[in-house]
Amino acid sequence: MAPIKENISETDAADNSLISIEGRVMRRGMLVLWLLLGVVFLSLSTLLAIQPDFLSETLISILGGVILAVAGLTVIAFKVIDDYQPPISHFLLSLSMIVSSGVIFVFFPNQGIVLPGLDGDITPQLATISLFFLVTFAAVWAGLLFYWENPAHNRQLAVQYFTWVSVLIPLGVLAFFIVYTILEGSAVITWDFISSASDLMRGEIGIFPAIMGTFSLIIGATVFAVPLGVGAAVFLTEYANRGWIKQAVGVTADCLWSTPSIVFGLFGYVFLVPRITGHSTLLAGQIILAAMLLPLTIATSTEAITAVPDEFRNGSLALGASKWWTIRRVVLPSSIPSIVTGVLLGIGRIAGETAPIMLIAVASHTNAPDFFSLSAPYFHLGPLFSEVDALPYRLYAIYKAGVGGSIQEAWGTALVLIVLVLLFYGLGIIVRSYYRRNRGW
Amino acid sequence: MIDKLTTKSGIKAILGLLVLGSFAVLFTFFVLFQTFNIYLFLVVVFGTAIGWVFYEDSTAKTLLFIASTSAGTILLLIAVFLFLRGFPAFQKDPIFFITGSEWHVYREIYSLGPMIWGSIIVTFGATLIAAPMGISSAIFIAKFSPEWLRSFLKPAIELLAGIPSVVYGFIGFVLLNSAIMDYFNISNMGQYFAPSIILGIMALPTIASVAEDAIDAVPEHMEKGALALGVTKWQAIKEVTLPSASSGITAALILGIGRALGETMAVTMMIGHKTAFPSPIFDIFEPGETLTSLIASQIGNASGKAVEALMGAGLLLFLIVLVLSVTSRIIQSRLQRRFRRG
Amino acid sequence: MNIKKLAGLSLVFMLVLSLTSLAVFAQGQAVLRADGSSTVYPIASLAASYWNSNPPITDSEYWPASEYGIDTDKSLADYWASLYGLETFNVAVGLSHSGVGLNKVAEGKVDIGDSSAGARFEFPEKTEDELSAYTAHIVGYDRQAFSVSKEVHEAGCNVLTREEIEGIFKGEISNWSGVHSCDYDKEIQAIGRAVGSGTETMFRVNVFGSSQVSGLNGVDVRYGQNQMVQQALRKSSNGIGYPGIDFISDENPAVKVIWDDGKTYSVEDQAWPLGRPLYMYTWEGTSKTEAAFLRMILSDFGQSVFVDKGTKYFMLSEAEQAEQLDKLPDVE
Repeated sequence: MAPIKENISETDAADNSLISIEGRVMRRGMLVLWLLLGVVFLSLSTLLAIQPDFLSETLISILGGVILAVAGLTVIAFKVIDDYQPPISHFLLSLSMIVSSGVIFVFFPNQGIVLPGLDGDITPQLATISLFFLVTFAAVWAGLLFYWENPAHNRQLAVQYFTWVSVLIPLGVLAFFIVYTILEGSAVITWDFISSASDLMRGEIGIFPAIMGTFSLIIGATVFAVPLGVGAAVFLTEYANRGWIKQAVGVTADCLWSTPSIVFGLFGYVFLVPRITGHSTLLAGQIILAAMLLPLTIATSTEAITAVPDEFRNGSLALGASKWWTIRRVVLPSSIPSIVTGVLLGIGRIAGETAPIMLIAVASHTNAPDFFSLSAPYFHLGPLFSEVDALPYRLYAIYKAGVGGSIQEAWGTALVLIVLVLLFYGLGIIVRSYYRRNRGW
Repeated sequence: MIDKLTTKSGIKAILGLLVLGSFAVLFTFFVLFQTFNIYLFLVVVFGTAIGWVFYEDSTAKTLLFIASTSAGTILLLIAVFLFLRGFPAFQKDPIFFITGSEWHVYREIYSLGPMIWGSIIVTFGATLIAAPMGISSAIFIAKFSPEWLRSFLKPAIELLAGIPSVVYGFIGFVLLNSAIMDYFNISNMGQYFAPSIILGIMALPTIASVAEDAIDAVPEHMEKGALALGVTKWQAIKEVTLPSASSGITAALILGIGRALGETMAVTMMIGHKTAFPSPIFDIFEPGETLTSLIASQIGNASGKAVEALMGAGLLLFLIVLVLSVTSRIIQSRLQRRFRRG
Repeated sequence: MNIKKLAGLSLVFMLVLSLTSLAVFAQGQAVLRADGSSTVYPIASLAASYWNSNPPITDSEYWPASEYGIDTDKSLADYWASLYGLETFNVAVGLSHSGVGLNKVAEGKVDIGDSSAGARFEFPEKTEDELSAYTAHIVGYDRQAFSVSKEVHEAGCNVLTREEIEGIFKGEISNWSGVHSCDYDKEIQAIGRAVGSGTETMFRVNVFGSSQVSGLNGVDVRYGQNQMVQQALRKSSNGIGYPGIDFISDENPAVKVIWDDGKTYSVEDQAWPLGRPLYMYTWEGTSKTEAAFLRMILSDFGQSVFVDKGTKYFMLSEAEQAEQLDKLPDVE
């Protein structure tokens, strides 16, 4: 896609004459003013971080709000007067607004501002965030106003700004959640926390069994879901490449993918649990998570295998190889990277599932599954048939009943869980981009 | 006859019959009689091993066929068992079960009216938040952002979808619930408002990614053609690209609604668990219950009649989401035909 | 066929055979399972934690056997198990509520059902015959307190009459200013417990006289466990709830009550009108594994460490203790 700047100058060469010299000066001036204010505010925040008593917290918050409001109005003015600017300036503007709000929120969590005439008080972070959204709303409103009154060119600017803000809000929320979790949870993360189990007797909290349990669940689910998913994809693309069969499996996979996780839990509860041992087991959890992972593996594998060029297949067949040999030695190896990506992303999803395993696989205060031991038998499958602990369930249990920790430990568990999920996702994305670049076809 | 049987294809046929037959019996026994016959299992495994060694191609094809039926089998099993366990709850008085307003475990009166209403409110609120922002985000990522930004934004949005719902629920509970309680000065914790917001944030990435894929898939030449006529980029998008992508965007919307409807943990952790209609009925600041939070919060503690009723709720939920899924597919193919998207 | 295929075949043969045998003959470790009341949970889970940790006799901080007149060189769990000639086992304690615990123990899903209400109160519709299979073991005593959010207490609302409590939970009193002891203009958030929890049952029995009372419209929200009630009270500024005494803290203090006789009682008083025993029920008698665990809790050691020091609950009196120990099968 051609860079946007290019497009604009192509289509509105005629409009350039409408932008006056004064406009340009005002635009530049406002940019400078905004950048200055941003720098001032960010340095104030940093100073506060280092030396909390530097300035009154309330004053800082009000100042922050004012700065943000000015920044927002600047942006509006920008849009009204100026030519389109590349996203970098928007990016910087909006990023700073979000960062500033975040800084205030995090560093002044409990301070209240009493507003005259209002019942009770409002905390500065809420005030600032409300201001931010108010400003954004005003900007959008102003933009939309110009939508009908101005030439098509300005309407486009308004839409571009609006959609840009739409993207930032969820990203801002994401960043906020992650940063908040890190700040709240990192205090609890010690080596002991991660590597040992909870011991009520000594009053220690540890999530090692939960980490191990989550890993066992993931590994088991992958072992069940990947062969089935890849197998189904291979069959669909290589052997039965007819419309209606593919449609049928596609619809089924779709339905399975959108089935609520609690329904999977109920299914496991009524179908699997009675048929395995009658109480919660690791195996049941693995099977149900595999069922949840299956649609994703089918879809990803189908995509991957379809993407293998026919030339590969034809070449192999022309050399006299059988169909299955072609699949095994030619098609599959080329599609493995994409399949791996899909699986990694899917694992990220099921690692965090609680509802299904809540009913069929978990219990509190269990030990990490001990498949391997130092004494004979060195490997046994016993743990498959008993309960496990799992990270998302741990978080839920602490939230629900303070079981296994205080709110601090809950944040720590949430942090470990997020890190785990991010790791899988990150790995998947890295693998995907690496193989996309080095594919050669 | 013996000659026929001892030919290569004869042996293959016998082996195949033996293995598949044992597998079928094994599976049926497992489903119906709750037993897992270890000997049949060994027959299946060794039969397959032998088949693999001698007749790799055919064995592989058979195995792959079985694999392709797996998704369908699981879905079927889910539907059947939910129906078996959940239908009894509807049998006595289906109208009351669906529309009644009482859910008292102690008095054994079960009806899902308040929960269905709760699910509707929460999903509606979530869609209000997720749909406009999701689609606009999709438009930005697909059309207005430079390439370098795009390769950063797409994974970032997917990441948002990947955060586990317990984490959303936990953060929502700790931050949102008390903040809303203070800020709006309401007297209780756990209303419909906060979960709607969180669900909106959760459904947004689903809508955004699928819509973005749909918009991106519209062939460039259509847009370029319009641009050549002198319109601005937005005009081209508005008049040409979006209508072509409408099937995908609708699919995205319905997927997002389905996600919000079926979301369990986040709602369970934030809602007030009051199984009654709010009064007045549109008061989103009253505590309530949705279908998913009902099941999640009560299934661990339920027994007998209560389990049956919860299964009924699960069945209803499953059916609703199924209908949504299929409808989305139908709409997609209709719109696809109409706009003749590539 | 060639050697490679033969080798591969036999490898698969051995692998599958060993895996299946491992699965089939897998011995899960014997586990004693308890589940039920969130009120009893602190006692049960602390005891289970000690049991599973199995501190050796040399660890006098956690297994001070000599302090309680026990002469042994075995580790904690080994000792108590050996009294009944048993091998060591693990204990798993679940958390739900009393009704669940009682149902599960009757269905055989757990060995011990924790309950903070007597079975006859939980199941008023069951006959004496049906209830006789429930074998009651009292492990401690609770005083069911009325707890309010910190702000409510600070505003002066720290004494309530019985009528006011009834009024609040029936919905007749909806604002804190309606309570005689305070002048706090805020809507009341009445926090209840899930129906079927022992705490809920005993609340109704103690305050309204029967668990079958209807019309409790004032309750804004019901939680499944005491812990959640405590959390809700801490996070709000207008709440009132009735958790067990182990769930009172500075951030959700207890209030005094003026009961029928006109006297004011505080939770510290022995004569607090809403006392209740804490049960660990077994089904149709007591098995040896159950008895081993229960004997530990009922012993002087258990009562002191798990009930008195470990929670805010109250130990059994000497007479009560003897009575409960009598119910257990004799040691070997």
